[in-house]
Amino acid sequence: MTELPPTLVQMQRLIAQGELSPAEALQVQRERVAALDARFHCVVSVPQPTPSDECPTGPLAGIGLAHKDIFDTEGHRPGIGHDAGAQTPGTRNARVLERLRQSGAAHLARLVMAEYACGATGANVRQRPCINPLHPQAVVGGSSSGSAVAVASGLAYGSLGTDTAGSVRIPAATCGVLGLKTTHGLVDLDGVAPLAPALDSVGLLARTAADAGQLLSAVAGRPLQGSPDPARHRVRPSSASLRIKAVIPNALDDQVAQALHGFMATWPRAAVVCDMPEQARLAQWAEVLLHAEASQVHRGALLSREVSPMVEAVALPGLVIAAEWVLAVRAQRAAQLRAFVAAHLRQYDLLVLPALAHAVPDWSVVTPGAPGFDAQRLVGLYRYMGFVNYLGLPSVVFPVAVDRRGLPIAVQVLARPFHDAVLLAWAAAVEDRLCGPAGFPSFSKPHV
Amino acid sequence: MEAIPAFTAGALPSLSDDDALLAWVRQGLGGRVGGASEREERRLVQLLVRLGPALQEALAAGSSAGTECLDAAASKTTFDTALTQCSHD
Repeated sequence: MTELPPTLVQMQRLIAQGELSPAEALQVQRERVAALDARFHCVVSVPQPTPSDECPTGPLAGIGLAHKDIFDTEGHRPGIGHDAGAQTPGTRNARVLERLRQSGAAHLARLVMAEYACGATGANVRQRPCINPLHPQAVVGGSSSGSAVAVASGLAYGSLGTDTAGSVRIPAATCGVLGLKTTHGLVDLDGVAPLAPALDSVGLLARTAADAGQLLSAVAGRPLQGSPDPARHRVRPSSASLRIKAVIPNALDDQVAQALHGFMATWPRAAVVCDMPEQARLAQWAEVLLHAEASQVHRGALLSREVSPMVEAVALPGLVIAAEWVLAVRAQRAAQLRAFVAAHLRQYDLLVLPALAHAVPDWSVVTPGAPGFDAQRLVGLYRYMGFVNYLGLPSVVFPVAVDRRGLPIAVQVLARPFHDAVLLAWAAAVEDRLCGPAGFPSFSKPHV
Repeated sequence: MEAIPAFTAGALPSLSDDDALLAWVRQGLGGRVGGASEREERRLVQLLVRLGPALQEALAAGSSAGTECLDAAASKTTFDTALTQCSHD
């Protein structure tokens, strides 16, 4: 298999220097898809190259991306983890994919995902099981499972996913890459299959913060605060001037707690506390919205029992949740957001939290019914995720340490709405300290 | 996301009344092809009991703030405005 530069930005440099044409770069990237898919099982289908792939223009010309199979593409409806999708004349690219196309990026592959974007592990009985490139027994994470695997394995320089309750951040954390859940409303959801529209956001996965910044600049539908792209928006903040608060709950497992405390010790001006009392309540309110909206979106399939147990677990409760509860948690969102920002993000620019509550588990530990199943470890995959969607805040996940098995231990970092680029600026500063030029994937030690 | 399933409208029974909650769950699942197992129904009752206290808080907060009548569209507009305002805080 032909070697490629490990990061999107390095590939851009090669193309800019004339060492490869965009078309040649894409050819090499396309040739790798089948070989890497044979090892990691992350591809659903490969879109036909478009005329613009012949001679792409724009900042992402020659860059191959692969995306969760949840986006409409030209003439094709997505399978959303339920089937393989189908040719559907008249279907247009989702608006976010169109933005990437206009920036010159090519679409290499549609990727595996949990059925209807439901499930923190990424398990999907309707597709081949994805393999975590870091360890064959380790859970892949979901629901954007194929996205994380594609980026971690080097199949694509970046990937779009969706995040309704952690679906970008969880697989990023388990596969050792960067995952950004964008501010709710920053990226257009037109042409993206919904799960719970109030909570849905497009997210992106990449190998480095700079790569993620390139993708964010292309997909953002409104100006960003603190953009890493000065040609587009405002100045990049100095990471040294950022005011940081961390919440490291006592409930974490020892490895994760130790890693987070160790990481925060390298930011001596940061404030570290152990409690965020409103988080559990906000998580429950998020859960109500998730159940209620998912039950409406998938009502037909749910009533006719055409969905897997994972989808039922997410959507079925929505059939019995009282309407007044749903209205109440919706009506409270604005006030809760204001209160949360006032409490945590007015005096501080960044709020550091755990990504996962435990070290990356094996499949058997988080698969109900399997020997060794531990419900707490399953909940630990998403415990710190859903409340962020309820608040609509941007959140980035990236590794900062490794566990005893060499698997990543990630942090999650929140910022004020539309400060997505500030998150990436700080992720870049962390990356500079901790990782080599290959970015976050170089931090963990693959066993595959 | 304007519509709320009609069968969930109305007052939820007391969270301490298991029998009434079970009847509520069965009513909600009523249109389901093949019905649901009793185990499934019991699990949903447990879920309502687990979520109930936090949701009573949401209702109480709405009453005190006068926001209990916001419909889905109005809530979305208010939330989107809050997102923009909080970006400048």
